[in-house]
Amino acid sequence: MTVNPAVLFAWVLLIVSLSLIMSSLFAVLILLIVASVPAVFADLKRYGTYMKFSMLSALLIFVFNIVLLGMGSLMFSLIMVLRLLAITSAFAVFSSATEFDDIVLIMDSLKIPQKSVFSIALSMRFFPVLVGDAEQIRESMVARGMSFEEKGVKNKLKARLPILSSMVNLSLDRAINIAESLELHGFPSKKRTRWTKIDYKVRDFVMLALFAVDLLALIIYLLTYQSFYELLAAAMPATILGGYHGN
Amino acid sequence: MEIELMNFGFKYANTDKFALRALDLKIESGEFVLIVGRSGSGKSTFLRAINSLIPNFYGGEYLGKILVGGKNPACTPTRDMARVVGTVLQDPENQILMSTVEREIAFGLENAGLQEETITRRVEEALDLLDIADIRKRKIVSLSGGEKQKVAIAAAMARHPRILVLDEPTSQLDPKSAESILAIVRRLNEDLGLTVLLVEHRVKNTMHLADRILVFDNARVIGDGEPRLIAEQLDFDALGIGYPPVARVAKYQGLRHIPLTVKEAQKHLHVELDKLRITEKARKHGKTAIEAKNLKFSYNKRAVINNLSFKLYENEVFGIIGRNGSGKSTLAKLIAGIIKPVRGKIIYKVPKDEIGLVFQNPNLHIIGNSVLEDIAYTLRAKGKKDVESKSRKVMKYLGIEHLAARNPMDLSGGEKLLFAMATVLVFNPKILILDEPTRGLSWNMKKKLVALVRDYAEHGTVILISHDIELMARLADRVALMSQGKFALVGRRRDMLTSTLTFSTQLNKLAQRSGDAESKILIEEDLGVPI
Repeated sequence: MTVNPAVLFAWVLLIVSLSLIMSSLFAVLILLIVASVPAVFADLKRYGTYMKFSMLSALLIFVFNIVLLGMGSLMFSLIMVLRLLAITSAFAVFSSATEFDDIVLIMDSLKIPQKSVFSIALSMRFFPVLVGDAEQIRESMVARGMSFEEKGVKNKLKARLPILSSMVNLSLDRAINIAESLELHGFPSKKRTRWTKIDYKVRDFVMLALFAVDLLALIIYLLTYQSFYELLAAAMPATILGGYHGN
Repeated sequence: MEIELMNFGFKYANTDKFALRALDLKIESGEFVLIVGRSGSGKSTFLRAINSLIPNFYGGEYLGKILVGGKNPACTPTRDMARVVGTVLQDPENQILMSTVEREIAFGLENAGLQEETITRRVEEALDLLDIADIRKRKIVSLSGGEKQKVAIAAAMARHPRILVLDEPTSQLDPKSAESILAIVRRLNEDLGLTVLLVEHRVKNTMHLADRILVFDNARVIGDGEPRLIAEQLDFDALGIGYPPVARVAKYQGLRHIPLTVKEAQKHLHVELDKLRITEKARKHGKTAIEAKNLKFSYNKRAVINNLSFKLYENEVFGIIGRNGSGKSTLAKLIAGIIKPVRGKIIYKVPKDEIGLVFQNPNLHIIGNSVLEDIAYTLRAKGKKDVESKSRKVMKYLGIEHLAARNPMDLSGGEKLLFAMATVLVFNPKILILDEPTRGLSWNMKKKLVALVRDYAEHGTVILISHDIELMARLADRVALMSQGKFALVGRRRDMLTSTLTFSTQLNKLAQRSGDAESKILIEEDLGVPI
């Protein structure tokens, strides 16, 4: 069964919203599970690649929190990390189950300006190319005697700086080629039509309606019960916000 | 008249020299025009003026007037010109904007405001025209360079242009993919009467296809006419364009009719090939430089190098040929120590850090903002002394000292190759690996490369990976044919590159048809023709 990308996109928005609002460990954990299970139906390899980097970032955030704020922030750090993983997992599922061109279709149907849509779509289309560039540049530098096995974060970053410099050079060159090609493809165009449209079935409308109701309920809850910052403050140890509790 | 240029000239903004000047030309509908000339002679500028990227995308001083299909590109937006002129650019990767094949073909049609049904029809016909219906749902990142160029041509053709302009469309491709693309272009020209303007360095594969050749030099057209006649009138070697080998021999013999293919040479080239005997002394090589034993390497559990053993010697040029994906570049990285074998080992008889690899994409060697800075970077990375003097010395050796202050991104293809070589040769490697060095190079740069490699092999080992059989025939002492991660065959060049249908030079193919299938003739120099 193919997933309607618009429904999937709405699901991602819902997961992101819920992640930002939920403050209990149990709730965020459930959310992470909900955000990860659909990966089974997506391109698992792509999902794994995205999540590998997210797991590393999450681990770093967790360690930094503990080091800087002490063991008292253990629960707060854990919730933060799970929240981050839930959000990235939802995006990873979306990216692994849809094509970048689908994002163009969704944004097009939301009447987002063409130039913004294509800026995002092109950056996603060329992301794997840039990753390939970075690896090839690293190899060319190793061939010229550069070592990337330095110890320590500072040295590792310093060793990788030339890769960034080289990537900027390549990207600038690529940007000119892409701009030239966009021009030759007749972009931007005021009379642009759409060949492929998202095909909505009854079940898609049902799902969208469900997500919309969920989101609406959350908004009402937020407006009537507590502000987001109060929730955030409640989730944080007092030392971080200097005792701020919304008073 | 399809295209007419009237006293056309153009100078890019922020430059001093005109890229094109005083151009008067007329091109008839349905002509196949090959455009040749050395780098910077004005070829790409000419195409940009036709498809209206000049002056819409590239600003500057615009002189004279152009008419293309009745439209004036100077007053027509590029998106409107795209309905008259389809364009295919050099780089297969960067010109494709969407993620899947059919959506890429549809993209330009959507921008043209066509209705859904019309787009569907055009997409289907473009897929059939290029015979790529089987890859319609494939992601662009998963396609080969040749397939990407077919998609780019399909996207251009879907707009039903009257003219197709192609700017070095095969320069990034292997010979097989290049031939496939050129065959398609020829078919489009013959079957549909499409006017074709093709900029190419591979004259051996293109001159016979064209009805007409335009020779650009120093911002002007200095030759215009039937390719065989212009090849006879002008000295293509002196102009840095080069000839197909059979044409070079005919030119040297002073023939009026210059053959461009083996078939034409059979009729017109009167060399008594079967009476020629090549007596060549094998060059003496030195001691063992590298010994590989049972090498194995895998990507994603797929064996790319498979139980490979070999020896390389000092003062040897070792050539490696083979299909794409046969493991050539992976082997280069293994030898250079960039990746490690999963099994087996390489025994280095030379210091391991004195192995240099020049990548097939010279852009990968660019880090800084000047040629000198980048060359010096290698020495600094290796902790060497006298960085600047050594950097300048290698630039002088390669003849690029005048480029010291230039930004490497601004160099031409040939200059970039020399720059990339300089970033490696500066630490004087004992083993130099060149991966596809001639891709997209003009004849004069190839000639320079041949001289440099011959000189380098006097005191070092050179591993040459290339699809360019003519280059192999000139340089390699031994040649290995790589297939499925192994050397299927290894032997001396005159044994490996003769008497085969695919891995022979043009002159050897001619020799094979001249009654002596055992002929060892490979290159023009064998017939006493200097290059």
